[in-house]
Amino acid sequence: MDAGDLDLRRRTYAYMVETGCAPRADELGGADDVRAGWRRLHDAHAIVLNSETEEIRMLNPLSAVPTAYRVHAQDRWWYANCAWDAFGICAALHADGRIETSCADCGEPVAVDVRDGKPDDDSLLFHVLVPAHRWWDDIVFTRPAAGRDDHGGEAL
Amino acid sequence: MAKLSELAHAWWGGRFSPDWQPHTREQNQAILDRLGLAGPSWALG
Repeated sequence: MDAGDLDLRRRTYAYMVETGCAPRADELGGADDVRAGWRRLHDAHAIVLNSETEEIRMLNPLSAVPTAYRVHAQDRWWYANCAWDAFGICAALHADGRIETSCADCGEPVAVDVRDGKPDDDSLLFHVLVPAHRWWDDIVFTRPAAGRDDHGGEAL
Repeated sequence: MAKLSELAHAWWGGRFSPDWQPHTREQNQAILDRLGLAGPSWALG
């Protein structure tokens, strides 16, 4: 990853952290150049593009599209890609937060407050169904889930 | 969940930093190992 792509990544993330929305390519420079840079960053697993549109899909741990994982932190609601990323938003913002989702097994609402990096409910389980060496085979599918019972796979 | 939060902080803590540099696979594996996430399911390959 060269300095130009690192700078494009930095500007892409900064835009989303500041505005809450992923940028369009033409908001960061010449659209063709930006899309080419995003493609290189996608191939390096530094961002994730929408496979259909070439627009931003994930700036991990942030999701550019609505998901079942909502996080309130720094006076804004964010979408996370999965349960892991939901905690990751608090971590990356260095902020306390509240995570709201639903149990992947029973569908019941789940809410967790994070204070000083620690969840207030340690009874929940985090499920990782895909082994680590295959996470990037299909990162959109990999999304680990939160729940109240063990669904198989690895649970934390 | 406490372990997950620990993992998230180690994995994502610097992600919004303007000085972020990509983690190597070895660095990421070291995070998993340090948290006791061992075995084939946690091997990055």
